[in-house]
Amino acid sequence: MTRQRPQAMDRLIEAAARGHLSRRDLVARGAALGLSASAVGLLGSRPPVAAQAAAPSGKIVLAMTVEPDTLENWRAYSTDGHPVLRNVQEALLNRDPETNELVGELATAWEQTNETTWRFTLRQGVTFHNGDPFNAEVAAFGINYTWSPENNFQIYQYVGPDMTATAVDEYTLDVVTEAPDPILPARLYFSPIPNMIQVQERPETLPDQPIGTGPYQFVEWNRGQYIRLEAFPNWWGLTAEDARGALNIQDAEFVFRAESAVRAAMVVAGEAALGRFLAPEDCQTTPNCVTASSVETIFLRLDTMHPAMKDRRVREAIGLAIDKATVAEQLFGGGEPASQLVGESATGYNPELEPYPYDLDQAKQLVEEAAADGVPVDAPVVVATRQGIYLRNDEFAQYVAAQLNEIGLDASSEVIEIAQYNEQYDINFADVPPERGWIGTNPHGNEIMDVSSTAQAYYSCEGGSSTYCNPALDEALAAAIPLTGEERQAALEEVTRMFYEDYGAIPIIHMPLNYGLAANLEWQPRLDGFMLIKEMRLT
Amino acid sequence: MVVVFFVTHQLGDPARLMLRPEATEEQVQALRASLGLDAPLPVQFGRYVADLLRGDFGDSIWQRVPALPIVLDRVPATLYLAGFTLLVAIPLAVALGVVSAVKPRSLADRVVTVVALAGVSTADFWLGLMLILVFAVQLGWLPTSGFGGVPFVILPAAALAVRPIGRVSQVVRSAMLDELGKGYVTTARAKGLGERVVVFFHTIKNASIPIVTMMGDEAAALLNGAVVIETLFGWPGVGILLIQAIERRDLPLIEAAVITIAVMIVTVNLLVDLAYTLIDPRVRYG
Repeated sequence: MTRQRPQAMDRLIEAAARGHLSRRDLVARGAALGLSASAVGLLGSRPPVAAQAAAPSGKIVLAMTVEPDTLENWRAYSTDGHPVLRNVQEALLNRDPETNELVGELATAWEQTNETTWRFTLRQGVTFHNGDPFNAEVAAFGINYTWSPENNFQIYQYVGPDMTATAVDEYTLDVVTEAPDPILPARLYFSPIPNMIQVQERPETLPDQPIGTGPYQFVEWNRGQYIRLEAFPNWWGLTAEDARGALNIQDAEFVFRAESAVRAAMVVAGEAALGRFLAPEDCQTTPNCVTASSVETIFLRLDTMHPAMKDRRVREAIGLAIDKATVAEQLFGGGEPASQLVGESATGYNPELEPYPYDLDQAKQLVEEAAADGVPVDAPVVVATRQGIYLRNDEFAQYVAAQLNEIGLDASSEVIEIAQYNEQYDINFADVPPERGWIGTNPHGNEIMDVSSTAQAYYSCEGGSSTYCNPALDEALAAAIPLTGEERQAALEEVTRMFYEDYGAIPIIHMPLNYGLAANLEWQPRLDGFMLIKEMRLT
Repeated sequence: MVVVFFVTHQLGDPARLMLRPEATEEQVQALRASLGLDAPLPVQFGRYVADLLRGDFGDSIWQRVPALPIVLDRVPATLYLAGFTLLVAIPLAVALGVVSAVKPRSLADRVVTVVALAGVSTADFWLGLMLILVFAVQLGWLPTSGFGGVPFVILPAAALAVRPIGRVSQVVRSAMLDELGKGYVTTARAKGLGERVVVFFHTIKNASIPIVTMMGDEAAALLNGAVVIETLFGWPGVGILLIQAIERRDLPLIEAAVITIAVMIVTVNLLVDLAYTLIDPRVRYG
């Protein structure tokens, strides 16, 4: 994003440098000048990290929920993969932890040169942990490898139009998409760049010996026990002004404890400095319990081809039967009732929509009306939940089933083991047997922060996880995808409204995430859930 | 071995699980072919047996390295936890059972019986959490979890030991009561032998057959995977590995883990059988 710097901007920089403006004012005035909030952030409200003075020291232990399956770079989109990988490997872009705007990481500038081409100017002087240089050839290779339809990594489902990256010169990269893709930078923020030589010559080492350019380099993975990282002494961020973090901590160890109470106990006992995703009551026991917003939304995915749920009144009744506020308070210890599958951070979030109200009487009436019209409301439905997918999901599934029985449906709940659930969950509308009658209780995270990716997966007739089909919505979505700016926002808001009004799924709550911190750890959770050690400090 | 093969092959299609949902049928078929899953089941079984005889279970689908070494890496942790648990549980169980049997219906007997019942009835998950909260968090004497030296094994072993203590102590009590009522005990006492000598040198050896059998059962149960406790304490044993492999439909890893566990259990049973010959010279094999 190369821009001219007018006089007004000089004045703004001066005011920021003198500390005359609050951050809010600074962002507002910067926006008026056409600056992104992240760019404004560089002006002065937060001093840039430059030429780190003190050497990193100490060790941090982070108690995580699940051990990653693999440390291959494409896995960095997953909730178990990114805590480790995003410290070791870097992407072209990142997000500003405060404003959530896209900011440069391995790229320093980017612009859309035509409808289907994005040009990235890459950071110079970056080396991989093994000493290999980073340049446009490496970046192009990494992008083509990660998002390749042939490689077909799981991350590929988040791709819009297929993309091809080419090196223009040593530090200029073009990414060309098959069709216009205005949110390509957000997708590229999603996946870090692997080491080209490693991929080409030692692919067998990719799963458990990641090499990157990040602030921390991989040391050891003792499966079942820990993953260890250490500060990378040649990290480019040590001398850069826009590193957005610093090497304060020398060593990091990720350990894995499935039980929230044990992760909290580790923090309380001083064995870990951070316990991730704690139950509210466990979090409260830690010295510093931080509850943060996230991009995760819990919702009920309805098999809309089911004889009963095919009827819009039955779907509406399901929406009315769940007391979202009580669920948030009693089961999840917080969180906002949701009206859509994404939060405010996403482009296309529709602020006019309210969560479906809780009205058991009206829900019963709707079911009775449907039954009177011959809808087989007694066709069994299963509130299905994946073993351990989030805290108290089994209790939530039981509650939903009880509520649905209350309004006259025939519901049961079932906790299903991971593999079997995924096999049943990740299938498209056309492949779901009508009699299945599943109500999936998954969370959905929109890290790309654009409704189009949610809609492609869950609202569209072709969506890989969609049990809903409305050709009119598909048309609206297809028309919205190439748009940018306010037009895109408006078009995706409309897609969100269409899905909402047809009760395509039932949003429940925007899930809060609880982190238990040791008293000596300074860290603020990010909206995208990344856990970057460069943003942490032990005091 | 046969059961392991056919049951694991009924778990589902690992190729579909490994690929993203939108994967084409051609991609699924190609992966099946590369994993050898496209051959008829009898052919796969033949390959499986041949590979098994060479100790080759194939590569783990999940970790993409040979499956057997993954399992063998976890065996020491399992043996360590099981061994330490039995080391704590068996002497305690024998002592409690003997105390109970020597003075039946006494206060000590009733207390032991209550302790045994409580041990058998207590959920190890709950007990493990309580142990962590008391000894690691409140008192700070031991680490909360993790794998390492003796301090790390004490809490998980304590959580696991409660059930064997309960079961074995009741078997000891019952066996000892049987033996203490027999004529040779009366004779020994009539000869003026002290009660300790009668109990520890004469009776307990004759009561040992059912006790050793029960110990073997408990050892087998521990080797079979203390999954809940391993999960709770982050203990890298075979049990938790097996569960992870099942969740991922990793057939080679499941087979390697099950066969390894089976070998350990068979070894324990063999040791138990050999122990019979030491305890009772009348027992002869062959």
